[in-house]
Amino acid sequence: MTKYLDLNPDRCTGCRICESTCSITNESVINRAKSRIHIYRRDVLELVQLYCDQCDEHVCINACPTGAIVIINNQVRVKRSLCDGCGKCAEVCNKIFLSPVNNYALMCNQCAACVKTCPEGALEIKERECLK
Amino acid sequence: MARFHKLLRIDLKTRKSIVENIPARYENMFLGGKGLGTAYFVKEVPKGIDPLGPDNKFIVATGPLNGTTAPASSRFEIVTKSPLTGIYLDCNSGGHFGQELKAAGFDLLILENSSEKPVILFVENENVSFIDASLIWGKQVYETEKVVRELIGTPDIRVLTIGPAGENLVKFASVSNDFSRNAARGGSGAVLGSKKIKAIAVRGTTDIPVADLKGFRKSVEKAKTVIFNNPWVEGQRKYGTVRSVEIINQSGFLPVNNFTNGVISSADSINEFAFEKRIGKVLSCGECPVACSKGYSRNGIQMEGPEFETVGLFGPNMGILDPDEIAQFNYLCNQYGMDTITAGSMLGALVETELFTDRNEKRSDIVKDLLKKTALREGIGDLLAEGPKAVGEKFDILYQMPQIKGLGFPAYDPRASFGTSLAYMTADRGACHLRSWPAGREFGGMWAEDDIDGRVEFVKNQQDEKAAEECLIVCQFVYGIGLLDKILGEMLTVSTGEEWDLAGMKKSGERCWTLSRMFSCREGISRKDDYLPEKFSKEAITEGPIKGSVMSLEHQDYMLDKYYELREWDKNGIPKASLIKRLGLEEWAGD
Repeated sequence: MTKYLDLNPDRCTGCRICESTCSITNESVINRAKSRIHIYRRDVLELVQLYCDQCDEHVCINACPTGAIVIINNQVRVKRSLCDGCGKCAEVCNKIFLSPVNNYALMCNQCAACVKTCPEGALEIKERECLK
Repeated sequence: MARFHKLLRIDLKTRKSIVENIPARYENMFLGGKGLGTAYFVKEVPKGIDPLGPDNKFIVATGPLNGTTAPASSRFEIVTKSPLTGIYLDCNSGGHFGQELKAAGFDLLILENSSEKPVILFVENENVSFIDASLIWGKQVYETEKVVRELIGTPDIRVLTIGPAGENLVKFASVSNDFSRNAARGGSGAVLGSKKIKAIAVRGTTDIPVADLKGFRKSVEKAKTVIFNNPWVEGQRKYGTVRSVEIINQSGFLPVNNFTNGVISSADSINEFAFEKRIGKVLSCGECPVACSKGYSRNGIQMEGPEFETVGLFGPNMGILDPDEIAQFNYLCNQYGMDTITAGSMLGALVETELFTDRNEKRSDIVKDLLKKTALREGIGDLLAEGPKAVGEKFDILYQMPQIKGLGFPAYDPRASFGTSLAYMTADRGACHLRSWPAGREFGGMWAEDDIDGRVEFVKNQQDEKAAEECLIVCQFVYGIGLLDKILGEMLTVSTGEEWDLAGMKKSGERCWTLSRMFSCREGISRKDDYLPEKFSKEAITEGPIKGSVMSLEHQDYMLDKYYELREWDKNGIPKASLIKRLGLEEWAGD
């Protein structure tokens, strides 16, 4: 089975507690720019939520010139030791982000920290059949 | 920690920017946010300058809790000289701009001088760029934010804008962010307009330093428990501020027909249930678990709001009980960039004048027409744009014009209680409900009927506490309307690594109140400016449960005497030298 993060946009209010939780959990700092989930404002009452949902398109894997994006135990992962922060993955997919300082790729790893802190219950980790 | 100890100063004329260190002494004295903004403002802005000239400064302040994960900590504070009142002004807004600005890596942004041409400022961490805004000069607020987003081309920015009202120097023009969240009171939008700043876009990617992250996370969890145990929060979360329409109407101090009646027979058409049917999207400010913003969506109109004040003043106070008409007035104010409170309370006082009585159209159509004319300064709008005091003088209705120091009344009739009156009378920026709001406790029976002194003391203390909250800067709704629970001190101490307690924070609040008064006294403010309009001492509320309530001049004088004594101001309302010395403010007391 493949685990993936799922967000219910009707519940999301855009408080971005998920972003700060993510940066604390995975990068040990409060820095929303280092989050693996991003909530943007697009219009007066319109939000955009972006995060890796473990799709099976694999454009990121194909785009990565250093082989840093791999499938491990049915999950797409970034191997930070191989990532040089070139940004090719983020060019082909807007659900992967570049760390603003060190320039490495940031991809949701289904740690579920944001699921626990979301005050609206908008996030959950789901499972589906294995990736191709 | 939790601070960057730095400010970014931008000269809009030369387009040069510098980063300066903020002395630790200032941080200890003024805490942050409103306090630090006020300290720099009063120090640097000379007496008697034109608020709409290049000598005025526009300061945007964040506080030590901004940008952290403290609940409801994304607000930002603006300090400037008000073109509406001619005195000290601070105003703030929720949304996400505040925490983005903090993440840019500094605690204060000081804009000085004026640009010659319309520009958009783009602050990306410490890099400042200027983008030509001539093509969007004249555009309304929503479109302005959209175009700025397209021009900069990255979705992770936050944008502060002004609308046509700010450009046209309407004296109660607001500043907006996240499309429809406004720092609206006192005309800060006109100050930006005078400086030819159409928008400020910010992108911050700096780590927010926290002294003890683990300890901080624990205190944040405690804070969330405090918040959700506050019985007031539940209704706020469910309905937002409009639920106050019913509560205030039942208590009898809703503004009705220009602050006459106090009640309407039924609030069904404009209460929380009416607006609940019109919610298009629930939104939240940064890091807020309450999400009180109930976004209205109907007939092609969208906004965060309307909030209680707007509903009260554009609704019953003008004899209009149609929620969609009220929303349209709100929408127009949002799009032109104007304060709904000052616009609403001022127009309410004009309903009996020829501006309304000489026209045959529906009242709501006249309101819309006047709002548009005001924003564009067309015809009579050129006078209305000057604000309630100027309009009151012109129409000879100062007697009933609901304003103090030039700032229009919020949607509570001050005759409801001693505390409400005193809070309006003494609020630093003019009539304001956010500096102290004792009415709930007064109606709840916290003081004996004749215990005026207790109320005066409460107002003074709560003013200091709320100022401290605006130093941090956190949302006062979420933490319980001015009750500085000890959890705030704990979060502050753990995040900054500095020792803070309630008394220390309150002292910073007291410094805010002293400095702002010193500034305003320098501009001519004294006891004479601290009274309600004459009507409120001569005419009683005509209907409802507190029918007959009036605030006599004797009572106003009694409260002012007591209040000045507590504040260590003299009989004329001027801060005493002993106070200035006790608070260490001598260096701000020059000329």
